[in-house]
Formats: sequence, structure tokens, C-alpha cells
Amino acid sequence: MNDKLSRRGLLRLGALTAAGIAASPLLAACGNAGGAPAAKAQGLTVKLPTYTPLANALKADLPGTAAGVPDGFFTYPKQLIRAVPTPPLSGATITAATSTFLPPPPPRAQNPAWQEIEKRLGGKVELTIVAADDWQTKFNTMVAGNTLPDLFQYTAGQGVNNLPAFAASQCADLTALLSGDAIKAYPNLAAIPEIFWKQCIVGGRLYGLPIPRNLVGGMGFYRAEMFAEAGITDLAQITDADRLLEALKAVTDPDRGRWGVITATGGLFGLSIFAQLFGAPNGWRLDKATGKLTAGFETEEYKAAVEFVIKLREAGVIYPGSEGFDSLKRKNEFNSGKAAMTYDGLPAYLGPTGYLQTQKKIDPKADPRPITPFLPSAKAFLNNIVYAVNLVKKGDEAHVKDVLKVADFFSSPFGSEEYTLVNYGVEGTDHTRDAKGNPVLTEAGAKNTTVPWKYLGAPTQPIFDASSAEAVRIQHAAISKLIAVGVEDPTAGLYSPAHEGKFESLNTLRVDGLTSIIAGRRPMSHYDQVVKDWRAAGGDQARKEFEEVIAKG
Amino acid sequence: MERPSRIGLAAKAAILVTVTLLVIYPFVGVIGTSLSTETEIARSGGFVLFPTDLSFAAYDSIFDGGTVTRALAVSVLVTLVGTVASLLATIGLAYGTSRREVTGAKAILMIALFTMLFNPGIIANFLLVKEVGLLNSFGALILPSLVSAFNMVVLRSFFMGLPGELMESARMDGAGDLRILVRIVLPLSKAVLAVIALFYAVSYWNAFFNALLYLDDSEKFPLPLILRSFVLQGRTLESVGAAEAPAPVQAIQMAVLVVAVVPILLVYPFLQRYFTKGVLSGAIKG
Repeated sequence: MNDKLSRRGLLRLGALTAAGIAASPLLAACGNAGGAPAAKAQGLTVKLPTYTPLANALKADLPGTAAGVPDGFFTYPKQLIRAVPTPPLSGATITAATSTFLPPPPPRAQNPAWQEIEKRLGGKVELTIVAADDWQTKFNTMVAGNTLPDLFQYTAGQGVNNLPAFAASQCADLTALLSGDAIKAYPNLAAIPEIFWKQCIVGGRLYGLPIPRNLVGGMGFYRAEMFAEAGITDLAQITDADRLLEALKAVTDPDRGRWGVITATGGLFGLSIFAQLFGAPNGWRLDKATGKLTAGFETEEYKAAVEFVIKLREAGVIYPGSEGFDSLKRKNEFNSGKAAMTYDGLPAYLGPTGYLQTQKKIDPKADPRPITPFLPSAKAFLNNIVYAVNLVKKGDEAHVKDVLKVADFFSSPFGSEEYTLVNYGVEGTDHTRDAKGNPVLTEAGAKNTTVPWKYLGAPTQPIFDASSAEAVRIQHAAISKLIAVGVEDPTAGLYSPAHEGKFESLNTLRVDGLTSIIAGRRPMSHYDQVVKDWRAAGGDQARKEFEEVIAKG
Repeated sequence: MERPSRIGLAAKAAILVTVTLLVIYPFVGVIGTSLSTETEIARSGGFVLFPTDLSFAAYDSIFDGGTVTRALAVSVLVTLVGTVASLLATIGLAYGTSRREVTGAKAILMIALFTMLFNPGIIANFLLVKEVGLLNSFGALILPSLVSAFNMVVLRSFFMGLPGELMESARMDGAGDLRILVRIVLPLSKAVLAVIALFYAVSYWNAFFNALLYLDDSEKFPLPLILRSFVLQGRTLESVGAAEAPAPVQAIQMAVLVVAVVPILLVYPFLQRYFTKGVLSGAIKG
């Protein structure tokens, strides 16, 4: 089970939906009330787009695999390929809305990268850029006010309670346009493997466009030099839970202001690391013989991980008070060497503000690395398959095709002129090439490239960090090892009204219950009660609906 | 009155100094961090009280990019125009409803008071703004919050407390309603007007929610919305997806905070002397 609160979870606006149903017939599609079409559990029935690798794809320094291990590159290609030879739009304007984690970019008029992208597109993209934390609020008003743009982002828990009905009433059904060989009209989209498209099925039809990620979110990070100081030069030396506890105790030294594990609010004291190491299932476990599902936290493995984290807290290994930190504070403290282990997603490792470069700046001896599966029981959650799925607003076919062409443009692969433009802007103004030919953003470029184009469409994600080939190797090896023991959520791509509708409340119930147990406010014997409450609150209903879909398919 | 003892005085001083330090500490920290280098910030865990190495790079960066300067201009414009428009509308409404001879004044007052108790909600407001064609315009930042019923009630109470004889004698001298308002009522109400102007100015300066809902074009974003995106950066809830968020340049975050706080902070000292007087005089009379 993903140990996370949805980042949009705190912005549930109940009153907003209630008012909206009265005010706008559109919202009928978004709530279970108000005469909406009955939501039915639905499975995968559609033919997925045929995976067609690009003919002129670059040769990687560390090649990817069919299982989903990405390509790794040590240097940026000098000769760029042109992925979209002719401008896909002929003067058309499309509208799009997406969230961003960055401050707003300089506007089009002062942004040469933006202008160049629109020149290459042959048309305009009117973008609504919303801070990630405000996305749910903005999305809800767009739905209620019937102001949805042509292309918009969708992530679970965004406030749509009946997704198939919403998609059917508001979104363009892309099945006929993209399924099977039809995808070949959009070569860059066709180069996205099937596992990503599985995330784009809604109500048995293809509605979405994936923003691919590296499949695994990872098990967090550790400071190799701190473990080495305690005599552990390789995590493989830790072969069972007791040794792990000993190792974390050994790196803990409150007198020096150093602890084994640091967490943040909603992070369940780093439980994600240990749930995966102990082999808990990703979301649900499916018994193929009986077709029965068990929720992740109903399993013994998960329970063992919770008990282990309690032991860590009791042993004083967890940074005291860090359960009240926000993620920035957690990052800061981990970066400054206050802890030897933390949970965070793999994308946080590389890049100029990633763990590696930041920690090296503070302490040249720092050696942060992604945790790889070292206990024999370890399983890695395939919980970062896509960043989000983009939906296309219903419209006439020609316009929908224009939108798809734009998504195809932004899905241009690493090393293409288009990818370079999106990520590094215009050469000379936004970036220059260093001695090895790697693009280096100028100060203006760092601002101009914050337009969130990469969330309108994206290729599969390569591993690239110009600063260090070693870092690319470490990340590539980590992802390879994680994918090798990767477990998919058996309900991925399936739809259960109860699961979708109660996503936030069920998650909150579970996280709050577990937090109180791990924090020591409740005894471990309360665990079964949390499970019982979760089942009664909709967990059992979701299970039943998923099981029905699995039985059919 | 009995003179306080030395111990009492010392205790008071100690408490006041402690409280003041507690209030000043984060401010100094924000300013200190905004003037630090990234390495120093990272080394000290994200908060620098007194930077060893002064760096103005963060301020250079935000004023250079155009995003913050433009947002600052938008905020100044919206605050100025909004405050003037709100004051005019509030004065008109408060004066009209404060005159007993105006027919329907009570009904209008009730309608205004109703909005204090019952809010139409986000969607209804959004649909209204959309229907009148204000989406994505600066008008959407001002018109939906043009009159605050609270401010109107304060002002009306103040107007009602003014001696009726003054207005009667003015009328006898041939003054019309407008002249009475402009020449007699308003000059007597400077204190309360200053306070209400401050209330409006602060609320326009700080408002981000209307901008979030009604504006799509980031070129039109006011400073609080930009500030929000800077400050929230990197602070999202823990999740795999949030690992996408690059760690922010914390000096820049703090510099934007300083830029957003200082202008409105500077207004306070000029209006301070009217503050207590204005609010109380409106509140207890009438």
C-alpha cells in the first residue's frame, strides 16, 4: 500500500461540490449524487496502443530493458535528432491546464524558449499554470464552471467521484484514435510502452495520455558513508531485520545530532522503506487461485514492518519530532547529515537540487545513495509508473487530433531538439554547452524553462546527470535492482467506485490509525481495530468491486 | 495609582522583551536567510539568523526575472484601485443606510448584513464572475470583494453617531446631500476612514484565493499567489509524486517573502494613530 497522503488530500472541498451540483449539471458527472449515471466497477477491455520504438532512437550508455529499466546517459547527445519534422498545428490554438511545483515562469513575451516552442508547434498553447497544492481547487472550479481546457491533468484523489461518468460526459474517447496500430500516427506517443498506457484506461476505454516515470518510486535513500563508519560497507551485509535494527542503532548518535531515520508528516515514520523491505504488497495482494484480494496493510508483512518501526522509535533511532516536519525540513535535515536514512521518491536523487549534489556541496564526503532491496524478503512497489494522466476535453475530431499532436510533440525523446527545447530552452540564450557538450542552463534559462511543458506530454524518462557518470550508474543500478523485485498493484487500471470515491477518507483513516500506533499513542493491539474500521468504511466494498472486475477479466 | 514595585517592573520588562524577541526572531530569520548563500542555508538546515557571508543574489534573481516585479506591480495596482473603489462604495452605502429618511435603507442594510452571515460558496461566486465576463481580468480581483459588510457597519455606526444638528444646519444653509457628505461628514470621519482603508488595503494586498480561482494567465497573478507558489515549493505532502518537486532555492523563497511583507508593513506606522480610535468609535456608538 502506498504510504502517502495524496498531496491534494487536504483540499477536499465538500461544500464546493454540494454547491456545484445545484449550480451546474456538469457536476452531476462528478458526484455519486444528483442523478449521475450509476458507476460500475470496470476492467481493462480495450486494446492498448502498440508499442513502436522510434527508428532513430539514440544509443544509450547504459541500455534500458524491456522490463522497464530506463536508458542511462553519461553525456547529453551532441547531435540532436528532430522528432517532429513539421509543425503539428497549422495556426490553431489549444488550451491546457496543469500543475507545477515551480514558481510561475516569465510570460511568453519575455520568454524566448516559450516563443520557440510555439513556433515549432505552429500554433499557440494557452496555458493555465497552477501550483501543485492548489490544483484540486482549481480543477473543481473548472469542472463546475464548464471552463475545462482542451488538455488537463488527472491524478487519483482529484475530487472526481465517478471518473467513468465524468470521462464519458466531458472527455474525448481516444480509443479509436490511439488503440492498437492507430497510435502510429503519433510516433513519439507510440514509443511509450504498454505498461504506461494501462494507467490511461477509464471505464474500459482509453481516455488518457501518460506522463511516464521510472515505474518504481524507490525505497528511499541512505548515507553510505555513515553506515560505512558503523562498519557496514555494503547494505547486503544486513541480512535480517535484527541486523538492520543494530545497524540503525549504530549510526544513531544523538550527542552528535545524528539519527538513523528521519521522517515527515504523513510519512508514517519511514514505514514505506520497511514495508517494501519486508515484502508487503503494493496496494493489494491478489491470490490468483481464488481471485481474492488482501489489502496491503492486512498482511503479516506489513504488520511486521509496523512493529519494526515501533522498535526503531523505542530504540531512539528515529529523529525525535521529525513526524511533525514538512518535507522541505526533512530534506534539509537529511542533507545536513542529521540522519542516515529517509524515505523519498527516486526522482529526488539527481539534478542540481537533488540529494547527491546538495549533500556533496555541504560535505564532500557525503555519499547518499538510493536504498536497494537488501533483505531477502524485499519487494519494490511499482508505484511511480506515471506522474499523472492527461485527459482531453470532448470536441470535434480535428481539434482532438490537434491536441494529440501537441501531446506527441512534448513526448519527443531524450536527445531530440524538442526535448532539449522543453528542458533546456534555446541554445545561446537559455543554455550553453560545457566542455563535454552537456547543456548548462543560464540564469535566464533556469527561469524560462519553468513552463510546465513536461506535464503536457513526456517520453519515457531516461537517467541523465551531466555532473557525474557515477551517479547515473548508481541510479541505473538501483532502478534495475528495484524493478527486478517489482510488484505491480493488481488493481492498477481497474475501476472501483468505492475505491475512487473514498480514496481520501480510506487513506486518511489508515494513515491516522497507523500513525497513532507507531507514535505510541495507541498499543499495537489497536492495529486490528484500524483494519476493521477501514473495512467498514469502504475498504470491503472496494475489495468486492475489484474482485468482481478481476473475476470478469 | 500605586507605583509598581521594582520586581513587578522587571518582570513586566522581562515578559515584554521575551514576547518581542519571539515575534522578531522569525522576521530576522527570514531576512537573514534571504541574504545568505545556498551552501550556508543548507548547512544550517534551512534557517540562517545572521549570515556570515552577505549575498544579495536572491534579490537580484527575483527582480531580474520579471515574474516577481510584474506581480508586485499588479498587487500595487489592485490594492490602490481596489481600496479607492471599496472606500467609495462603502461610504456611499454606509451614508445612505445611515440616513433614516432614505426609503428602503433598512432593506438594503439587511441585504448587506445577510452577506456577513451567509456566503454563497465558491462555485456560485465562480459562476457569477464567469457570467459577467470577469474571468481572467483584474476586475475579478476587486469587484467580488468590493464592499465588506463589516466595514460598512463600522462606518455606518460612525456616521449615525455624528450630531444630526450639523447636517440640519448645513441643509438650512442650502447644502445638498453630496455636499453634506463631502464637506461635513467625511472630514469628521477621517479616523474611521483611515482604518477602513487599511483594512481594505491589507485584504487586497494579501488576497490570493480570488486570483487562484478567477485568473488563468500567470502574467496577471498578484504577488500573494506568486509568493504562495514560492513558499509552498518543496513543502508538499510526502508522496512519490512530490519527489518531482525540485528543492527550492530557499534564499529566494525568503526574499520573495520579504518583498511581499515589507510594503504593507510600511503602511501601518502611518495609520497606527487612527487605529484604536477609529475602530472603537465606530463599534460602540450607534
